[in-house]
Amino acid sequence: MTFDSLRVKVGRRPVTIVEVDVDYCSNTYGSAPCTAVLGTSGSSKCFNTFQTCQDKANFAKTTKTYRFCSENALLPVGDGAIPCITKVDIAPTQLDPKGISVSASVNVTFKDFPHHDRGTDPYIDDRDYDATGQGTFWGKFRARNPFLVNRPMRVMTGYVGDDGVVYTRTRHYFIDRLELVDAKGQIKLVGKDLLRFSEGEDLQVPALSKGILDAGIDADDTSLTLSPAGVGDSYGTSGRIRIDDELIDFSGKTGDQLTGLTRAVGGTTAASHDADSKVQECAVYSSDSIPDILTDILTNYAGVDASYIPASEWSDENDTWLGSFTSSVTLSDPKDVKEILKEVLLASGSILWWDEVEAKLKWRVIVPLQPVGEVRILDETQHILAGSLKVKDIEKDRVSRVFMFLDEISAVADTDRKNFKTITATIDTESESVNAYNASKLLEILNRWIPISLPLADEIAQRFLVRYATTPRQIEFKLDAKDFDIRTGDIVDVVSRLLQRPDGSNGSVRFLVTECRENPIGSQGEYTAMQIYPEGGGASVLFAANAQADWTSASDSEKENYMFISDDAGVMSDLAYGPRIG
Amino acid sequence: MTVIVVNPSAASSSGCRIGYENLLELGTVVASSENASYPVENAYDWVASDYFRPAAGGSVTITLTLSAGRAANYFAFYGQDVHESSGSLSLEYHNGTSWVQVAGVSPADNSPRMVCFDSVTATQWRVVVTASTTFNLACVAFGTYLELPYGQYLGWTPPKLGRSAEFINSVSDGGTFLGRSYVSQGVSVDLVLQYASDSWVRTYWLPFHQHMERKPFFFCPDYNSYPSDAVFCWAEGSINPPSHTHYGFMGTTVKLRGVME
Repeated sequence: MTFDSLRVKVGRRPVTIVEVDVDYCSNTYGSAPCTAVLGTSGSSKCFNTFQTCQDKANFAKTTKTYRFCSENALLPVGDGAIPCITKVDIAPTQLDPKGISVSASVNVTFKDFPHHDRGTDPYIDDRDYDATGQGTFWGKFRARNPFLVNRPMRVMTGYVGDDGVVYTRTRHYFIDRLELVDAKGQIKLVGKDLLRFSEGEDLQVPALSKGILDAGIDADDTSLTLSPAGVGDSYGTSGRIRIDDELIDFSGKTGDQLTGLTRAVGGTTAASHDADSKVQECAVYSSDSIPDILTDILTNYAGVDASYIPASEWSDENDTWLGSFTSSVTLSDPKDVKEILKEVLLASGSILWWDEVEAKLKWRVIVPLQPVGEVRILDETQHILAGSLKVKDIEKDRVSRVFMFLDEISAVADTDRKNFKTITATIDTESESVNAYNASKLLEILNRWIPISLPLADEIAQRFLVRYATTPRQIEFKLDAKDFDIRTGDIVDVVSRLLQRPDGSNGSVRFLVTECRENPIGSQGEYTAMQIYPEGGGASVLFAANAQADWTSASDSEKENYMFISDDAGVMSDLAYGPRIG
Repeated sequence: MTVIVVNPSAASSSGCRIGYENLLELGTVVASSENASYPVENAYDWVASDYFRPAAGGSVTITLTLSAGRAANYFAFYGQDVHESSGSLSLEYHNGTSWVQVAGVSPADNSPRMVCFDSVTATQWRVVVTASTTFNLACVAFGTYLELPYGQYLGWTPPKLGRSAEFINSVSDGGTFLGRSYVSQGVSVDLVLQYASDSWVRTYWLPFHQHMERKPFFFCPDYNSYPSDAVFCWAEGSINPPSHTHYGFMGTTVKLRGVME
């Protein structure tokens, strides 16, 4: 018996379990190394939590897991989950094909209740009060564990098998906050996905430096001293700094002194700088790949644990679609991490989202999506639930031309059009023609992240146009739990009377699933998907004879029959994006 | 202060019995083996989601010592996996020289069980659980049961048949049945008190009402005919107080929610 065998079974018994990890001390009160003394360090013993600790220097952090389930869960005997969940609302990741995705979140509502403290208070026998008659579970939990933010929590949805065992699928979140909803004893625990770490208001790239010049320097000085004393510890042993509008490389550090200065780098001009001038350390990327840049921003500036980044998957995706493309960029002015991530993703034509089931950050380049294996077909008879299918055009997402600004002039100037030397324009003239939309829709990308390369810029622009030149259609539908194997990022073909061909027959239209939400949990799922172009999964072609004209000169018939190979950047001789062998 | 007054007479023949007195709450309880994370208190706190678990399997005793002799005529339990190892649960009292068994059950499943026996008074009692592996036990109780003057009447649904559940059906746009989820909500049953004399209500119902306000209990509506139809249950919503239905007699109906599996 497995999760998948139970979800397709008629009469399945859904169950939801929530686990919360909180910090917990492994020491015993008053026993070495804990130096707490009852009556001296406190009038009563701690609860082995940091908040109640009486010897914080020796707090030995481990994890204690609390396990909760819905009130009617009827879990197997001995499970021990506390049945106090009244509602679980999972807001899934929403895939935004134009950049960073909307984070997934979960709201879990609990009912408060009296609790005997057994299993939560390690010194219950030493208390002089009746725990059941004093306070409530969540009231005491909150008082003992106020430091919940960013601690892991897991939402396990699944089924109770006939063998009495619970089979679940786990989603991973991080605690955002604990709210006391009302005076009736309702508690709400809010969890968000890993990308929440990129949303902190104080998280910036580069991190805001706190040093200033201890004394003024001339345009040719090769060392400087930072102030206040000790601030040098927060600077690297080598790197790049910005003072006023000059970028300076340094090769050594001794205490608060930066040495081996190379002045006026990055196209800036050497100048003298006054005492107390801000010394901002820069984030420097030199011939780095997009995955390397994203990883650096996420791990070094957003505090994301590197274990959540599947480095080899990202590397493979990069090798497949971005090839040898690398970036050399200096970030000298601190900006919000999320803004920088959006900029990198848009510039590279890629998307980033949190897969809460696999507990991984997924990164994918926007390309004409090719299915992996057989594409699932969803129809109105066997899959789509009654009355659930809705189709709408998302005109605001249509793009008919992409203007990409390239070659940043100065790393110390604002990132706007005036700070770029070059522009490329890629236009889908057919969709803009009077017989089509008769209007243009512009996507403007200020791109300091790719090198000056017309084919490369055009390739990225073409990827946007292939996806968005025709007004994207979005569909919403519901599926039974038996189809829960379909998830965000999957490709499906939908056959419906609401997706008709010109002749009125039901068309098979290909979509990318951008959101899936279990509701009711364990029983049905609400899906959102965006149509992807071109339709179809490819065609058979012939190899042409020698002396065949190239793509630009080939006839339509030849183009249909023969395979034409693009250049290294994936562009055909007429600069159109070419077909690709997967 | 714990106030427990139960019907001392087992002579009533209605067979409608309620086990709410639990002598384990009145004395000193010691388990012969205990997993520190699953203390023996979990077995008699009336909470069905926490468990007593011994450190090892075998024959494990939960021994109660009272300050004075107390009578018992029922033994009940719910929330155990002893049956998975073909184990047994029994109740014994100490007669001054040796332990004497008054009730014993080898459960076939996890359904609540309530076993009645001739009343015995003793200061020392023990529950003996025999299982080949470690086990879990959520609720165990013994004491003197309360027997209602009359049983349940027409229009009443026995708890075994009072299954309550929420169904979520999936039907496709084309009308095909695609699947169903089943969320059990236990059993829903009424407890009907009828033709109880004014004095009986004051003496026996009121203490039970006070217990219902705070804790679950065992209910076997027709022990004479269906002794295995016991339910571990609790009052749902507010508890209707008794009212006069006939001159000198009172009655009420209390809505219960419980579990039978």
